[in-house]
Amino acid sequence: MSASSEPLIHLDNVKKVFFTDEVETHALSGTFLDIKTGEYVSITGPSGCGKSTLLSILGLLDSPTEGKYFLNGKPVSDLSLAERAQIRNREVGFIFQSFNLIGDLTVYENVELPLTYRGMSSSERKKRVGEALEKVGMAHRAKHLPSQLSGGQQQRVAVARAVAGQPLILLADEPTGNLDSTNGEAVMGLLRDLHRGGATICMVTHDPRYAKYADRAIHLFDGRVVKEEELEAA
Amino acid sequence: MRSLLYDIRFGARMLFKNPGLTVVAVLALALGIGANTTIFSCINALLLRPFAFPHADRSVMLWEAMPQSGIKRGSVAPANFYDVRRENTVFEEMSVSSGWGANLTGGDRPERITGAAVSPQFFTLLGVETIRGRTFTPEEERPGSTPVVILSDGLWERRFGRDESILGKTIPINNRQFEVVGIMPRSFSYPRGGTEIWTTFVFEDDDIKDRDSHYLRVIARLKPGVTREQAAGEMGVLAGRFAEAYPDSNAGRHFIVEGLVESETMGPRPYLLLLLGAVGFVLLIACANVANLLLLRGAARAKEMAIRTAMGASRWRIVRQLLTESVLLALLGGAAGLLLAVWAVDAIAVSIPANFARMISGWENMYIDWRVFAFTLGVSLLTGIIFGLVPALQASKTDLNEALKEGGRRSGGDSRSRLRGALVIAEVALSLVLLVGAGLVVKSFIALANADPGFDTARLLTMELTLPRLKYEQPEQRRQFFEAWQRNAEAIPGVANAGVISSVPLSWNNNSAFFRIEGRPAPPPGQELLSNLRVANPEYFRVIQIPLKQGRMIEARDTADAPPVAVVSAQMAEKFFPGEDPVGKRLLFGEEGKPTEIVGVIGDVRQEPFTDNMGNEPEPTIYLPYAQSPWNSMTLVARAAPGSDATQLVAPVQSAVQAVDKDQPVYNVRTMTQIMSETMAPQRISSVMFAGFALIALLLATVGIYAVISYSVAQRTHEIGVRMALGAQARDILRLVVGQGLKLIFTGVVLGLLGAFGVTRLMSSILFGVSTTDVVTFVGIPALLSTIAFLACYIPARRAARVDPMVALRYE
Repeated sequence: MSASSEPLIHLDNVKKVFFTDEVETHALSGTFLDIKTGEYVSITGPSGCGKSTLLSILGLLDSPTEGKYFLNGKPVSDLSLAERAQIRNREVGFIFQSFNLIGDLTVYENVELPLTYRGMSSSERKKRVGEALEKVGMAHRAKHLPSQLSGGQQQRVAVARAVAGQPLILLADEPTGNLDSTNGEAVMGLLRDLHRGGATICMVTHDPRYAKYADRAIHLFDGRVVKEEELEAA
Repeated sequence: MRSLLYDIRFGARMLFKNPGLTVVAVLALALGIGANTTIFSCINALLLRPFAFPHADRSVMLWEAMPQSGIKRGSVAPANFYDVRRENTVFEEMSVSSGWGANLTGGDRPERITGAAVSPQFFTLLGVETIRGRTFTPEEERPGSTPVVILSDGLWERRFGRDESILGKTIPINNRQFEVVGIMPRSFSYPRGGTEIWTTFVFEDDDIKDRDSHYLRVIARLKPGVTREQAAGEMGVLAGRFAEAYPDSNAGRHFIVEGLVESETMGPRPYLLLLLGAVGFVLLIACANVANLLLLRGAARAKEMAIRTAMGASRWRIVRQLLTESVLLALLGGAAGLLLAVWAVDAIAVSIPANFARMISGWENMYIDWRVFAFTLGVSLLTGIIFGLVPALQASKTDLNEALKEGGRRSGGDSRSRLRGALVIAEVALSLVLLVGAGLVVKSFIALANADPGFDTARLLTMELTLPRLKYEQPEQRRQFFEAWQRNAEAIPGVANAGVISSVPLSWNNNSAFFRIEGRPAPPPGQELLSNLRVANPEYFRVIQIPLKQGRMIEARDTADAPPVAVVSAQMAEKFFPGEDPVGKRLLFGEEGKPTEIVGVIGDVRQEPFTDNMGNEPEPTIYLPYAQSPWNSMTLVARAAPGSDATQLVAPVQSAVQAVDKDQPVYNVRTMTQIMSETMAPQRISSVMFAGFALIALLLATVGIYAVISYSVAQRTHEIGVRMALGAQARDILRLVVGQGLKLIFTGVVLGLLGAFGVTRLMSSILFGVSTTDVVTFVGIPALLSTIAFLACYIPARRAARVDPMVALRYE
């Protein structure tokens, strides 16, 4: 699927500074980035280069110290906590390295969780959850608890949770980091299929093998984008 | 042994290592154990060893009862006592006692001494001996024998300066000379708290045949091997035999055999047992609280336990080590609780006036002795095991592989969290039961304090006096005495009015009489009509301001020579003259008494203390004019003028007595406010204590809920971060955390309400003016508890709602 010309995400000279014991740490030092709708972008770079900080700003988990962030054409850098939570819930889907499923909830309830925060009707939730689990091939394990699943299965459930709300963008933070290579490949295949189905994906990874699944790779170093390259689909 | 010392040393180190947990746990235990020690001190003093004599355990009291006339437990007639003593086979020894008002003269001032007239066997029966001189001999109860007395140690010291030569000397009492034959030890004051002098009961021949006057308290000692039940069985046979032989006096009468201590401690027993239950709840709540803290600490020490297990420690070894720590904690809590109890027991001991306290058997024993210390030690050890065992078993169940792999980061399994939840539910439920109970007791006390006694209690001064029979043998002498006092008293500046009555309302004194109603058939034997009986002069009714309902009051025209008249209480009219006009009806007292015409009906007053008449209707009462029934023992009542203080009238009113007879002492000098305060002392003390214990329970439960929810929030920080990353708003997190707490709270409240419905039924005998299922209490208390518990959840929930969603990534 080809990307649209309008950027879904636009970062304009975004900086992020952390203050710890009077020491300033510049995690991002003037980042410019555009991600278009339908695009699959991987962000790579060495440890400490600012990948996770960038992802947390993209996912509105954190806010920039300076610079502007536009999501779907709207400025989102200076929103209130409640507004940011609403955007995270409706427009962003997260896939975490360690799955972050809630152990006391079943597979079905985990996938349903972001939809409940949206105030969606029960029937609509049921439909969406069913579709999402079908999409990742986990519908048959809906009543299981996460502890009863393998790592790969847990990550598939996490992907289903991320896509169930039909977000504008999927943000994946090292989605294969806790998986063996077989399961890692399977999850990457799943993300590729979602992308082919129209999903916009931004994935942080330090593994060059998986970075190649993206349309475009962005390399970060010392908090700056130092290289961008268009990739052949894997 | 060496390993135990190691456990103790290591346990002490762990307590110091976690000072926060140690301090909170010790405080919780101190409150729980301290409350139990306090109440046990009271029980020890008032129920377990109220009397310092050796044979108390085998001694019983014998009472007469006549249920169909409303006498549930009454004194014994002399003839019945003599018959039982002669015919029984179950008692080793029997003795009687009766109150004896001793007007001691001869010194600087006359003094009224609380005394007792007893059988010579009284002291040997109880197993007590004099510290000087001897007890009474059988000859000294015979008519015509030399009057003798035994002094208490206190009276000997106060009045005679411990003069050793007092033995053998005579002292003037009630216008007679009594020879002092012995001194009792300081600890002995039986049969009535505060008794300071004993004399012998001298029965004349007529007395021994008397079956109609019931005034003897009978004590007996069971023969070895005889049980109380066997004695009661034989008394039943004897009562049946006496009823056949003397149907006029004994039909419908039977005997009750009660343990001496049980019988004498009937008053405080229900309150103390209730409070014992309350502090038991407090201790359980404290245990649940500390168990929860230990479960949390056990979770944090999972890795330590795993390492110990990996090093070869058995499960029992780990349980033992953890139990040693919890017992150390409990002993610290017990020591702190003992200190709290010392303070609390001192506070209770001085919570009622000393002159009232000395009337309560065992009150002087209200202190921490070795029994209380042993109790505290035992409770501490038991408590340590109770709250320590489950956390120790849980901690020893650590999954070795998991714990070592997780580096001790994870908190433990679902079973631990379920257990913590169950403990919180238990705390809430127990607190609710206690709070509802306290609510009812406090409400009952408020109702009692506000109850209408039926007369104006303001600015009333009362004092009792007993005119010696020898000096005031003639009725006219007694009438003249009180008339003269009346004139003197009313002339005192600040006295609004004054009068006399045989026993003042709300006092512990009572007289009653059987009567018949003219024109009606005599009731069958055993079902005689019974009413309270009072003797008062006309002025008394003006002083006390009891409203007239019908007819007229007792008036000055009701002289000794005038036709006998009476006024009756509204309850008397209602009970014995339902649907009839009692005025004009005539009452008959005794076999040959003149008919007494009812001339008026007046309002009811609560004659018996509230404590003895809890929740019941006022008893029927007949009032006779003093001029027609001039008794020796009367109570003087004076009302201070508006703006004056009744206590300022004590000296002038006493002087008004001494102006008539300088040797006439007065006693029980009290204002009506004091009488009411003394009357309500059991309720006041128990409601204050109950409320205090309930507040402690509420505090402990609140801390328990807060700790569990806080810990849960800390454990779920990452999960909360994930939820927020997925778009949860702060209100969603608040709802999640508070909801978790509310589930526990509401489960506890429901269980607590069920428990409260059951437990409060047991409290009906001590409640006044409030139902055991009082709606306000049963709705208000759960609402209050839920609100406070909600706040205990809300604070950690607020903290949870501020979790940075970044933790979802940081946890990576």
